Amino acid sequence: MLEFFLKLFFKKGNKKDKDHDSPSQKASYPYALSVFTFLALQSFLATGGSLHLVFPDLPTPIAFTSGRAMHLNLSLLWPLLGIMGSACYFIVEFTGNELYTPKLIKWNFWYLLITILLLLASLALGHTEGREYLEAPFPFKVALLVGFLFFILNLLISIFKNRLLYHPETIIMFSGFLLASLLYLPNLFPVLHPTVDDTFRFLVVHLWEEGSLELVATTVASLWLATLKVVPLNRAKRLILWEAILVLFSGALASAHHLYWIGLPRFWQLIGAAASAIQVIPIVLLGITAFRSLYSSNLNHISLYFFYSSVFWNIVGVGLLGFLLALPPLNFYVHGTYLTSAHSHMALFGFFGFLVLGTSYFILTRRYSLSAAHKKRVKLSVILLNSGLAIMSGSLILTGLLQSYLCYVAGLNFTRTHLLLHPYLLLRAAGGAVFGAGAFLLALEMWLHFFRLVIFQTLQHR
Amino acid sequence: MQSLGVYLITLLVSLLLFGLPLFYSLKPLYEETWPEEAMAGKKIWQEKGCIECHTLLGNGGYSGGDLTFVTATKTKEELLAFLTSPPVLPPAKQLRHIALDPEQAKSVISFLEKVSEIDTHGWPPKPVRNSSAQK
Ligand code: HEC
Ligand code: HEM
Repeated sequence: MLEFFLKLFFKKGNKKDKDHDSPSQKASYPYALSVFTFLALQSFLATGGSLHLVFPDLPTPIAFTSGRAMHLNLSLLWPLLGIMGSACYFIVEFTGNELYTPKLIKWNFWYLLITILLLLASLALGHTEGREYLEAPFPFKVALLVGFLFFILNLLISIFKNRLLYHPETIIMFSGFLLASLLYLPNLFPVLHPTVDDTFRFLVVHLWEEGSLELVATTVASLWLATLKVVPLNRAKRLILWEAILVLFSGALASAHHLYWIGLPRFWQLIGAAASAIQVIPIVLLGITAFRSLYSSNLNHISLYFFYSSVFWNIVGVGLLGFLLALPPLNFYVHGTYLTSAHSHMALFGFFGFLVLGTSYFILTRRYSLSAAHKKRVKLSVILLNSGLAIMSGSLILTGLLQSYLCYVAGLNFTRTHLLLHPYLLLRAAGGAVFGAGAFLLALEMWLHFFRLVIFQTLQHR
Repeated sequence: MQSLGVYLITLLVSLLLFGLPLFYSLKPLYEETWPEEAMAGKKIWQEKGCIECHTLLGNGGYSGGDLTFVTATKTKEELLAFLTSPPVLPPAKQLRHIALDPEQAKSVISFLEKVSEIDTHGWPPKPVRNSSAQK
């Protein structure tokens, strides 16, 4: 019956051949390339901002408030773009079917890119809705959502067309994207009460990265490892389902760890602590898989450096620090301190960002033989990114602990505390500079690679 | 196949488990009505991007202090004076705090007064050693 309707409305799609990227997969290249570019831009902005915190009199082309808003928006948007591209790539890779329309994937990219650039320009000019991470004015939010919905529609039609309804990996990714768009909805319109306002914000700030988009990310990562034959495909598939179930079950309720002190009933503390503890299980699962994969004989693709970095930060920043921060009696003393900042950098970039960089790097380099010099430079940039992040988060942890002690134990006022924190904040800025150097080198290398690739292809086509 | 079913059920159950209590926790807050002036104050607070430097309920930027209960520690006059003729903030030698005109400042203060009524379960912690002499 269902088959009949499917036949009536959707002609079955084309099959792809195994040794070349299909048009849909090629359409995901620009998504991957934009990831590296935006990361470089973001780290440049952020290093400037972190210096501005210590030397407020430094002349800057854009105000601190604008710069911070741009930084926060970028921190959500490039991982989103990256994971969209990677999802397209791996869905096609594993189902062997083309997406409904590769053209739409391509146009969607340019549309989203222009929207994001205009959004950033608008923030730079000081227009803001004044809500952290979601500062972009209303029209930009709508524009983003529309682009995202077109992408989801494309996936949906592909699912029908290629009879993928019973294909768990695709359904998990699709549901992740759909959920992400739904969680965005309450944030389109202004709300009055600050408690409600913050709760809605965390639906995106927290639940994108620890729910909806994490569903997509863990699926993409498992398929990536399977493509490299680091993990056998059937194990990867089992892992995907268990990860997805655990992520969903704990991720939603764990948002409660943001709700402890913002004006909601006390029972959220219990829920937050319990669910955050469960959140550690999928991380352990991933850690075990990663550890076991170290014995694989196929560890030869350089993109794996990104994967192991991601696993490391996931364990340290999310599993360990995140878990500790989520305990209500501890959170009481560190909520609203620099410790939150340490955690969010380790989680959002360390875990999620590195993962997206890894799949994006894989997509761009998979079909090409890479020169030794290229590999060397990429290794160097991964080392710089990791060391920068380590210096940055290490100093933020120290800053946070000291801040909490000075404010809540010694009882110094805010201004005196902040002045005492300056040496550590300067160290953070130094870490940021190291990180930024890595990000720049990597972006440069990827653009060089891209030009080589384009030239290579045009020569081949002659 | 079966596992896909388990997945979809988990999806629904976890969203309901989270969404329903959240809905009932937020409902009374959502229905609160605030005085015009406080509402106008929130708008100004947002338009000026105060959150990038200050936390409210502990969420926000860290270069200025948390302002959830600032109206309990400072008088209206002090705050008005601070916001309308802002001082240079150390360690800066030139850069002054963002300035508001008196109307805007009054609205923001009225907004902050409403914020201070929110029950944060005792957060932020009271200092263990009360060294008001050091302030
Ligand atoms: C560029 C960063 C920045 C921005 C933007 C900013 N502030 Fe501040 N603000 C500070 C700093 C730094 C202090 C001094 C430290 C402190 O005591 O909080 C301060 C102090 C204050 C104080 C006095 C606190 C006290 O305890 O005496 C108030 C009130 C205040 N700001 C309100 C606002 C409002 C309202 C806005 C938005 C219109 C705003 N601030 C925007 C950085 C900022
Ligand atoms: C999966 C990846 C994760 C990402 C991307 C992430 C991201 C974030 C972000 C962006 C913030 C806000 C930071 C700020 O406002 O400066 C935050 C705060 C926080 N996160 Fe996570 N997080 C992740 C996982 C976790 C886990 C697993 C836990 C607990 C086990 C956790 C516990 C917390 C806590 C307790 C806070 C602080 C809330 C507060 O005090 O304001 N996070 N996280």
